[in-house]
Amino acid sequence: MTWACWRQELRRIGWVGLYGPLAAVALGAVFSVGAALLHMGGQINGIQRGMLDFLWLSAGLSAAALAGEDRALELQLSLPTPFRVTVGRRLTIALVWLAVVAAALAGYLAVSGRDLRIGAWNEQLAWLAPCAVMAAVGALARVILRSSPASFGLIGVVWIFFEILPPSMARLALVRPWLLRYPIVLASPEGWYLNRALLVGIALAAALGAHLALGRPDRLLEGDA
Amino acid sequence: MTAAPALLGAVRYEFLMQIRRRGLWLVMGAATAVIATFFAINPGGPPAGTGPWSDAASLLSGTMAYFLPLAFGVMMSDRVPRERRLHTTEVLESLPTRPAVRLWGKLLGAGAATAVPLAVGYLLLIALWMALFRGPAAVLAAALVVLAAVTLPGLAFVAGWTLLTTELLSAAVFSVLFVGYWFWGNFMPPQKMPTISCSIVQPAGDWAAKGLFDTRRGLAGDCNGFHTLTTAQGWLGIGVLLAGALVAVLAAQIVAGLRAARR
Repeated sequence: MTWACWRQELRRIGWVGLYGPLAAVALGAVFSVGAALLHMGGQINGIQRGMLDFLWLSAGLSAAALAGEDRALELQLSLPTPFRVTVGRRLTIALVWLAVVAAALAGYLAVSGRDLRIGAWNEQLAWLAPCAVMAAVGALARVILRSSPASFGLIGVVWIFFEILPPSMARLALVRPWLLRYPIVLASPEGWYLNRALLVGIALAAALGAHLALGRPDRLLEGDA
Repeated sequence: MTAAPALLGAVRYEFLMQIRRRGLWLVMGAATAVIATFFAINPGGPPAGTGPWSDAASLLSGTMAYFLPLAFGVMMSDRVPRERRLHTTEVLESLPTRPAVRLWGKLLGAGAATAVPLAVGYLLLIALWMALFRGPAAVLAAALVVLAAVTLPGLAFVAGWTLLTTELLSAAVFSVLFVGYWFWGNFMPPQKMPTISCSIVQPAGDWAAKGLFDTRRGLAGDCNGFHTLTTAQGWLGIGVLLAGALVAVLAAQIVAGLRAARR
C-alpha cells in the first residue's frame, strides 16, 4: 500500500519536478557549447558552476508547484491519509531527485577541476543549504498564497535578488549572513558554517510553517482565481 | 455579436478577475519591497538628488524593470491555462465570440490589471525618493514618461509572449522557463555568456532607456561601454518590443484558432 502511494506520487511530480533539474544542467551544457563556439571558452567554468544556482531555483519552483497542487483536493482531504503526508511524499520524491542531480553535478565539477576548491563536503553544502531554503520557502509561499503563479513570482524575485546582489551590498553585515552564495574563507570557515546553519534553520522553520498550514483544510480549499 | 462589445466585455471581466487577486498584490508588493531594500541598503545610496530628473526616474525604473515584469509575466501565466484546467473552454467556444476576441480581452484586461500594482509600486518608490531628496514635481512627470517609454513596451512584450507560450505549455513549466529566461536575457553580461542581454530584444528596455534618456541603468548585465545608442535606436527598441508583442499575440491567436478547430 505504502509503495503504491509512493509510486502514485512519483507520477504526480510532473514536468517541473522531473525535468526542472535536468533542464538546468542541459541549459548549462548548451551555453557551454555556445560559449566555446563564440570563442568565449574562458567563461565555461563560470557557466558550469552557475548550473548549481539554477538548481536552487528549480528546488523553489518545484516545491511551489507541488505543495498543494491537487485537482481532487476535496476528495483528497476526505481520505484517512492527511493531505500533508501526501504532499510530503511528493516533495520528498521531487527533492531527492533534485539532490541526486545536484550531487552528481557537484561531483562532475570536482572531477573536471571546475569546482570552487573548497573541499568535497563544502562543495555539497554549497548547493544543499540554498536548495533546502528555496524549496521550503517555495512550499510555504504556495500554501500561504494558495496560488501557484504568485508563489512562482515570489521565488523568482527572491532568487534574482540574491543572484544580482552587487558585491558592495553582499559585504554589508546586514546582508552577509543571509547570502545563498556565501564566500567561504578556508582559513577561517566559521562564517560559512554559520551561514549554512542559518539557511538550514530558515528552511526548517519554513517547512514547519508549510506543514502546519497544510493541516488546515479550510485554508487549502480557498483557491486563487 | 460584433467584436467590439464582446472585446469590451472580455476586457472588463479579465481586468476585474485579475485585479482582485490577493496574490497579485502580494507579489508586486514583495517585488517593490525588494527594490526599496536595494536602494535602502546600497552603500552607493539611491540616485543622487542632482542632475536631470529623467536620470533618477530612469534609474528607478531601470531597477524596477528587473523585478516587476518578472512578477508580471508569472501572474499572467495562468490566464490561458485556467480555462483548460477548469474545462470551460468548450463552453466559451459554444458562444458567438471568437477565440481571438477572448485572447485580446486577456491581453488588454489581465495585462492592464497586472500593470496596476506594478505602477502603484513604481509611483510609491518615486514618492519615497522625492520625499528623501525633496525632489520637485518634475520627477513625477519624468517618472510617468519613463514608465510609458521604457517599462510599458517591455510589459506588452512579456504579456504577448506569455499568452503565446501558455497556449502551448502549462503555467508551471512556463514559469520555470520564464524566470530562467528573465535572468539570462536581462542580467547576464554578453561578455560572460551568449545572451540577448544588451540587445534590442532585451525586454527590460535598456535600448529605450539609453537611447532616449542617455542614462546608466540597472544593477547587472552591465552594457556600459558595450554600445552607445542614439535617440533613433531608442525609438527602434520600443518599436521592436511592441512589434514582438504583436507577433506573439497574432501567433497565439492562430494557435487558439487551431485548437478550437480541432475540437
